[in-house]
Amino acid sequence: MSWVYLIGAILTEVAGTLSLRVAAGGRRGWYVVVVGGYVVSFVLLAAALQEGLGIGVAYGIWTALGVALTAVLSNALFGEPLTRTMVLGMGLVVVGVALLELG
Amino acid sequence: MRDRWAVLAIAIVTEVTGTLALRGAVDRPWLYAVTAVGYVVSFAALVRLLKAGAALGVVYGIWSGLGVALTAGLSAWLFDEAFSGLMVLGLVLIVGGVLLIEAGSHPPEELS
Repeated sequence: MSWVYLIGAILTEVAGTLSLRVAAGGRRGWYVVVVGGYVVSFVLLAAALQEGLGIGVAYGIWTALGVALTAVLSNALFGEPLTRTMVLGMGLVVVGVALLELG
Repeated sequence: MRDRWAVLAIAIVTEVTGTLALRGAVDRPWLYAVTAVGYVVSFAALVRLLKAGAALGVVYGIWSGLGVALTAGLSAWLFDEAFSGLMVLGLVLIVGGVLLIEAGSHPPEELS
């Protein structure tokens, strides 16, 4: 169950982050989604930790997947650049975060 | 737009300060105020970057990656947490990854 909470925490955080871009673009009502997304995300993250998931593992996966998903969805939704060099960079960040949190 | 880097640096430093304060608030509850202010300033800086036309994927990747790296390094120093060789390797990979994300984002003036 802790993994379900963690995945929920990641998805709501990414939704909040993507909404930040929409809100910054002038549609201010989306700030509500930003705040809501982050609040729900932290509640779910706390629930995942309550269920016994280690903070290093949870935080590492959350950060790594958050970065990757945000980049991929920013490309899909907003037409932002996503080059091979960027994907390689994201990969290094993901591996780096994993080593940092688990090492 | 060299000041975009300054705004990004502010976003990272305030987020790291907020996170470290959260860690310290276990013993000193007043630090929760620092966490709140840190995160609000950090998000305001991110919004400013996005309004200036910076790409979310790039900004978020750099902000998140360097934030984790700095938080880990400073935590080890401030709270006497262990810091292994693997963690150092992780730090190096994050910094290298951030440089690649920036270098690979087009157009180059996206964040410079």
